[in-house]
Amino acid sequence: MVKYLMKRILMSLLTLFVLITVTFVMVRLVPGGPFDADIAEMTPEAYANLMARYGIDQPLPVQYKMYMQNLFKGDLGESLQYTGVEVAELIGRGLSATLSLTFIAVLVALIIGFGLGIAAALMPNTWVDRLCMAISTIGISLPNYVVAIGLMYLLALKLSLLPVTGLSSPAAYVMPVIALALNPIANLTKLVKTSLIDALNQDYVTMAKSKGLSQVKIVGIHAMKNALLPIVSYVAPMIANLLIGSFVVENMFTIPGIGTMLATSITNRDYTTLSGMIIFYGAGVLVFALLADLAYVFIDPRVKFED
Amino acid sequence: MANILEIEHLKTFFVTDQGVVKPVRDVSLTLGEGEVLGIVGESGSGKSVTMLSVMGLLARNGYVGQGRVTFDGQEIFNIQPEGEDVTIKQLKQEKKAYEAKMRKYRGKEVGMIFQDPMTYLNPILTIGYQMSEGLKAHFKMSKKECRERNLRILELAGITNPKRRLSQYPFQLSGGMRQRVMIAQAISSYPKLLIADEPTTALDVTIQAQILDLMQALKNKIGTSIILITHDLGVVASMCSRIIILYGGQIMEQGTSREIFYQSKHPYTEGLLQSVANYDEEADESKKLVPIEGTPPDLLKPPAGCAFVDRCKYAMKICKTHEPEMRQISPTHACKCFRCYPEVESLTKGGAAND
Repeated sequence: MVKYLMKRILMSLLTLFVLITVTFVMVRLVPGGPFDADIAEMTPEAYANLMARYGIDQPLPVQYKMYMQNLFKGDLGESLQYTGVEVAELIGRGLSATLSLTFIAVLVALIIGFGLGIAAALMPNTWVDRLCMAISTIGISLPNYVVAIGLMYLLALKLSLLPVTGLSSPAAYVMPVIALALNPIANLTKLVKTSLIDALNQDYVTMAKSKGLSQVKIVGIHAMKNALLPIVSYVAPMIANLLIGSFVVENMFTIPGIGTMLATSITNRDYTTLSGMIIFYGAGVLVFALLADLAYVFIDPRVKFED
Repeated sequence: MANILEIEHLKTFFVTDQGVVKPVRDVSLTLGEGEVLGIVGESGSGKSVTMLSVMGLLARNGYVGQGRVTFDGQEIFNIQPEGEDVTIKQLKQEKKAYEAKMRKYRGKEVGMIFQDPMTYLNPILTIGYQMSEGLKAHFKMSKKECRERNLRILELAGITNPKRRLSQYPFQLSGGMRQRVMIAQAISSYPKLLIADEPTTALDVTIQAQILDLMQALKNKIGTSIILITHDLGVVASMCSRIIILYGGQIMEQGTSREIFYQSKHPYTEGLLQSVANYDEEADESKKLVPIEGTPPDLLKPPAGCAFVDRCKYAMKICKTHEPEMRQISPTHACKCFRCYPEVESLTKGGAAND
């Protein structure tokens, strides 16, 4: 088991390294520079000084070496846009908004997704089942930005029930959370339903029934624990996707989260901030993938005893 | 001797896309205390569905249409629809009611052993957990009591190092070992009735013999009655005192082991006996295994006459149109075939009626 986890951790670190390198190169391949907006107001000398101050005048390999050395010390560098502000601090500023939004969306997606999926699995071919599948189909086919615009138009502009932007009050969370969670809810409902039905048709469920166990134990322990295996491998990337998906939703609702900052740093060619943000997102995805692998160990004993 | 299980005129059907399938068509049987009854028939003859109906373990689309079942003197269900206008809804309610009733017996008074130990044990729960579940549910046993009982039962079931087994998972055991665990699990509540649904089919021949010996030994130790469902006459020969031959959802012949093996009357039983490999006799041409040609009847459209008519080498005209009744040959022996009718028997003596 230790070997299994070590292998996964090493793989994650390698992936992160590749991600950092590719990001570093691609960000700098985009035409334009961080100070192009102000270039008209600067003398060539001032411009050159500025470039030298941040080391952008150096050839790429040298910059890369410097960047990696700093990164190794845990230093993401200084923002090119906001003078004197560390990228890490910038991420910290946006973190609370992004994390709270993602956390609530994950919670909502899990509760509703599991609820609908279990209901549909236990009552196949009834109106309950059909309703759940209808919700699921709608959720899968609508991208989150369409949902966001639809909600804004209906709930905020027409009915004036909710604030259009920001995250200042609990009510403000409603629309972004729905926009974020609808797709995962839809996928989760379908997945929970099919996995659970599949597990309920297994022979061991007949065996459990023959022991006179209650329906709750049969579904909750015998079937659900087996059904969780495919679900876990969806849920971990789902959480990571919600984290990234908040990028679009944050921008639409102008929520001061990491997503909005990422968008600004792209237009500003803020190399260090952009790299830092992408590394942060990437690390998030990897952590959740790792957590999924860890969850497997607890659910499926066959993994634990595998060499 | 009191009867532990009585089944009267059981009829079961499944509602499918193609229509209504009737895998059990009027089956009646009794099982005495301490008795071992063999139910024999090929795949699709209704052996398993009969027992699943009684146990209340039918699939969602399966219903008992008619029949009365008593277990240990207690009536489990008595479904007697009047006329043709019984609705699925009514049967669904009946099903719900008796399944709830039966749940108290399952795993307590009745233990079940299934065919395939690879798929009937839950792969991600420990042996100990799976063995304790029933005990906890029915007897409110504590963890310690469960453990003690389980250790004793595993030992009875011939499992080495039972302490270690309790914390192991099914995938860590061999096939024969898993079947022993399944048996141990079924008998851990000291049930009055043990239903073994093809317990040896998925095992290789040497293990088969061991498992049968084990069941025989356990029967003597805990004093349970056994219903052994199988398609292998060789398996029932060594264990069962009485045998029921099932075909097309109906009982074709029943009798003591001796009567079935040495005085069988039904052409289907004859066919089954001819397809049992016999290693004692020398393998010359005349001793080749004789298969029964053809396939079982389509139970979507059960035949009007005898269920076996299409495959019977003695079939007469009347067999196609009329269903023979069960005729008693001796107090213990009965057969559902026109050839057992005394009036027909006298005719067939010369072989004249065979057309």
